[in-house]
Amino acid sequence: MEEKEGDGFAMILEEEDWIRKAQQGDTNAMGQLFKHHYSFLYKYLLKITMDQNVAEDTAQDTVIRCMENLQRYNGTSSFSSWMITIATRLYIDRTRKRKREKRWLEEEHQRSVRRLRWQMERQGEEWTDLLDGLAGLSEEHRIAILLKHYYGYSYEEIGGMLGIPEGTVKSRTAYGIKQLRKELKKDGEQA
Amino acid sequence: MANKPDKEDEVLLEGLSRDLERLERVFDEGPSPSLEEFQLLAAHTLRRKRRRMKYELVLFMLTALLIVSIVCMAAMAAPMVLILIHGASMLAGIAILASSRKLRSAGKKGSHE
Repeated sequence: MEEKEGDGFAMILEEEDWIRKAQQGDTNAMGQLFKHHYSFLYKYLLKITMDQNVAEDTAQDTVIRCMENLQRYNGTSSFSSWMITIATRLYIDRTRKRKREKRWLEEEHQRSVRRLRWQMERQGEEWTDLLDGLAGLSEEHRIAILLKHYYGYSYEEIGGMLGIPEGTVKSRTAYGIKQLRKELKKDGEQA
Repeated sequence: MANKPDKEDEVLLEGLSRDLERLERVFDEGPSPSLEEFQLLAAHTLRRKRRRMKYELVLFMLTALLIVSIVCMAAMAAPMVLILIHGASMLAGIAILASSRKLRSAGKKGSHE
């Protein structure tokens, strides 16, 4: 346990060193920093988008955006939080721009969810009704639930990340959970 | 209004967390560029950023030069008009500064920490 804590602390110090050097223009340190965080970023985007291709595209855009704006990172939040804030806003902007193609997007989203389901089942993991319900939520509700109840951010932090009032975050998470419960009951009745 | 999740919600959210952890495990070996690719990307991004900043600086200098040239020409042609415009702009600037300070201090009183 102490060894793990020691490793964790060493990792934090190493990350701070990478950040400091990267902000001074050291591309090797910058590469190390983003290589270290990429998996976390990709998995976060996979959960909020429920689409492997969109997750990958958005992850790449996020890395570039973060590299361009690394000077603005001031350490008030963790680097991963800063990064996923940028990622979330990029994804929201992307969905807003594409709202005109709503019908096509819905069909594409269903195809992506089926692909995700297939990937999971291929590896012997069950695609549950909960995951189905989560995929069926709108992006804003899904993001709110994930950030609050999976990643453990406070309502205030989420509000800051998304640029919305705390009250809106609360109502989105509550609505999202209510929708999930409704979906589970519906699937339970159909079974 | 959202209250703390009740027992049913807690069970639901625990189940969801477990499912999401399984999803993460399946995609643990997701597509990730190599370290070298990240370093090349970093070098390219920084180069592009420097080029863009140089371009923006040149554009700014040219625009500033153009504006200053126009103002100087106008000053030589009609000095009184320039003095009037300059004076009016200063007064407007002071008024805007004073009212924005009032707005900011009113905003601070109403904001949450």
